[in-house]
Amino acid sequence: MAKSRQHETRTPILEWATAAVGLVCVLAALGVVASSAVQPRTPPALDVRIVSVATTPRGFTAEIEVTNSGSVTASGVEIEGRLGAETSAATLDYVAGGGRERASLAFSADPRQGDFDLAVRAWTEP
Amino acid sequence: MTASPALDAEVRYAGDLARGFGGALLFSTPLLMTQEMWSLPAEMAPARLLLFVALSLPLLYGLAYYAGFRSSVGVVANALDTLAAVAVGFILAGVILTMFGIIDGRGSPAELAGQLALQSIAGAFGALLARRQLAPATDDGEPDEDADADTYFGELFLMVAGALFIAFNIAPTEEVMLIAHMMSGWMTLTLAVVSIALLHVIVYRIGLPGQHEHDRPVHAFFAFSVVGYALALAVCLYVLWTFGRLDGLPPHEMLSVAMVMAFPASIGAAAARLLV
Repeated sequence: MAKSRQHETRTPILEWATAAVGLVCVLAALGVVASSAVQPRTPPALDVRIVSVATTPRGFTAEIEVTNSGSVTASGVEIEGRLGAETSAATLDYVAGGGRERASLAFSADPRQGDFDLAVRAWTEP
Repeated sequence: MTASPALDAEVRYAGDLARGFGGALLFSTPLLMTQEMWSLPAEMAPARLLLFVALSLPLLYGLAYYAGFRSSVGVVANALDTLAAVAVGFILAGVILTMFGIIDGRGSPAELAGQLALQSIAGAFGALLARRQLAPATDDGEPDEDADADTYFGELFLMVAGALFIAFNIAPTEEVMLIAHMMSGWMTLTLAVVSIALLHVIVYRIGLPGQHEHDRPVHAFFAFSVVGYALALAVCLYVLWTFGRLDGLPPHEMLSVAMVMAFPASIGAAAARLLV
């Protein structure tokens, strides 16, 4: 039954068009991943900066952003901020190669003023 | 046996509804017991959660059209079934999450609503597939009144539904990200090729019931398998984005994570065409 129907009806143009779009999408996706795969692997290169500081009832919260300019993903990324004698730390699960992640550090004083030091202390590769 | 035909219809509906609960229970228990699903609604962007629920409704309607928890025809009947399935999902999620102690009255109303809305979609999926999966073969001797998914776009729809169901079950977990980060680019590409091959083989080569006979394998490969994989990949990207898993990733990493998830999702896409 299915056979006779297929011989009678031609494949609709819309079906060809859909197939073509699907093929292009898959090839494009594969191409993007392949082009990154041929790049040489560079170890995680992490940088951290303050994005914004918000005032909270108990002090100040600094929103920080960690960027990874290496191609390998870093996991368990430990960030530490020091403001005078006060330290605040956060751990990010992952910062993907070429990607960025955000975290928040809380302080009792404004980190934009005073002796503020922000650093990525340690990470592992997943 | 029963006095009036009207009462008979009510009793029959109650039976179908009970089966819907059975299907919802079967399909949503894994997600109800996934830790991320309890916390994600509070973490994810409200707009993305709303969009996900809003986009799920037409998809559920489509499932009611092709499968449904009872044998029904017509736009109104299918719309009522869709809403009934969502109700089943909500009630089940509410009861089970309360029983588990996850809903303890201390969360905010928005958090509770988010948890129930997200879980109810998975439950509604299960409820709408219940008749196909749980009904006895003869189903009261009634003729099968479901629409046949024999049109091209009907088949594509079922692949999207199958991919979404699996993607929805896997996207909240941490493991997808971990696997994607552990795989090299070449391993990811191999996985993508294997996924396309599996999608094709499951539907066209392995003798599962519902197998589609095709005397044009090349046409079937490009029109169904490759398009099916593209749809599965798109569904994965969408669900990952909904759960905030793609935030901060460069494009090739987004695609790598989606390709890891598209492996089970494309199997889900293939299975949906065989099951429904």
